[in-house]
Order: sequence, then C-alpha cells, then structure tokens
Amino acid sequence: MPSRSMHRPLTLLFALATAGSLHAQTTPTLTDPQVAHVAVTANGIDSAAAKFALTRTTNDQVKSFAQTMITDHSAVDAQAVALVTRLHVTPADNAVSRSLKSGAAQAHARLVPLHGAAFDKAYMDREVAYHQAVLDAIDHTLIPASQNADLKKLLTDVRPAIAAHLAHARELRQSLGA
Amino acid sequence: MHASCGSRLARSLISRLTGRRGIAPAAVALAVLALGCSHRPPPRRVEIEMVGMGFKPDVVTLSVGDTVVWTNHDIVPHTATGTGFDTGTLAPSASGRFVAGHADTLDYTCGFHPTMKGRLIVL
Repeated sequence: MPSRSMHRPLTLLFALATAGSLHAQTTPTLTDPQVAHVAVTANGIDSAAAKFALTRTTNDQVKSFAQTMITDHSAVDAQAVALVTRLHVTPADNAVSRSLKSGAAQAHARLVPLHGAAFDKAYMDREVAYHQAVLDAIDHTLIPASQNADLKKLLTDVRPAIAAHLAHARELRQSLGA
Repeated sequence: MHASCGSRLARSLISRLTGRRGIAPAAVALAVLALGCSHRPPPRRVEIEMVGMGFKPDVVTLSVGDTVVWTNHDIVPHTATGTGFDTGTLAPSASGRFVAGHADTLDYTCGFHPTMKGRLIVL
C-alpha cells in the first residue's frame, strides 16, 4: 500500500527542457505519484530520442552514445517500475509530465529534417540541454519533493548516471566541432 | 617457497654443495634464490567498486599474479575495458575479474561511460 506521504501535495518550481532550452514553470502541486510519473516520462523521452538517433546518425560515437542512453534508461525504467509495483503506486500524469512530452515533441520535430553532421550536432546539443535540465530537476525539485524514502533513494541513485550522461554528451558534442 | 629462505634445508643444501664440489657459497646461494627462494607475497584479490559512475579506487597498484575484481553497485550496466582486458557487460550487482599477467600500467574505462576512468599499475 502506498504510504500516506505519497500523497502529500507540494508546491514546486520545476525547470523544464523544452525545445532544447530551459524555462521555468510553476506547478501548483506535485505528489510522489506525480514525481514518479515525471521520472518515468523523462526516462522514456530520452530513450525515444536515442532510438530515433540510431535510425539517423552514421557517426559511430553518436551511435554508441545513443545505444548507451537506451541501455541505461531501460535499466532505470526497470528499477522505477519495480519500485512503483512494490509500493502499489500508480504514477500520476500531471502538468509537468505533459510539458515534458510537449517539449520533446518540439525538439523531435526540429531533428527530423536534419541529416549527417547537422543532425549529430543538433542531437547532441539536445542531449546536453536535456540532461542538464533533468539534473537540475532531480537536484532542485524531484529529490526535495519526494516524501517516500524509496522513491527518494531511486532518484538519488539515478543522479550520478544523469551527470555522467551530461559529461559524456558535452565531450562528444565538443568533439563534433562548431 | 618464500617461507623457506634461510631455513635449515637451504643452509644444508648450500653447505653440502660447496663442501663437495668446491663451489663458492655465494654462487650457490644465488642459484637457490633463482630457483624461487624469494620474498614475493602470495597473490592478492583487489576489489574495485563501480559506484556513482566511477571506479573506486580509481588507481590501484598490483603485483603480477594479483586478481582484480570489479563489482557494479550502480543501477546501470558497466564494463572495465582496457588494453588486453575487458570484463564484458556487468549488470547491476555483477562482478568481473582480471589477473595481472605482467608488469605494466593499464589505463581503462567503462565501455558505456567514457567519463569513468581507472588505472592499474602492475609492478
């Protein structure tokens, strides 16, 4: 059964990555089931972007990066699903998740017409911005907002992976040139 | 063999060889050492954790014959991949090993996460 704290409402300021840039949006409340939904959504968005990149890029390093995103986010997703299953919690859709999806759709639309080096640079720019935004959200919103100890621990355990993805993305983007 | 250095057996062997054949004691002692009478410690098992998207410790000093064991404590898969060795994919909680075969300095990374870097110094 979910703990009572899983339903505690919180007032949050959430930084979102939309269309490759950051902007702040105020959300009225965010419960733990909503935090879980945001985490799962953010995870799925980057996996989807990586799957698209694999269909488009011919750069071996970009391919390798995209494959790692799929592998890692799949692993995180499995952990998240196991947690919410164990807690008998259903992740709750919310304005933050919907905004993330909307931003991801816009970012995807901008990638679609690109090919070759232009695609690689735009995809890696998007990965840098997205992972920075997710890292900020984990640090300043999701971990502080989480009331359930297991949910907080999962987010804390995920954080180093997101930071490593960000560093990897920055290095790779830099290697692609201006 | 290292425990027998200076032992009664070794001293007896040196004495008998030098007495019967007129071989210099120093030369016999060197020969005994060459046969394995050294102070090399037994091989060790050295543990390296893959945790927080890093290798901890990231630099380790080994002797030839020591075994390195990496264990993945993160929630994503890792490898320890260097020149001449590769643990392959280590899922969370899995371990992989490598036996140091010769003296060298071996830099390695995670094949998935190149920001993870480690070094084995084999003496």
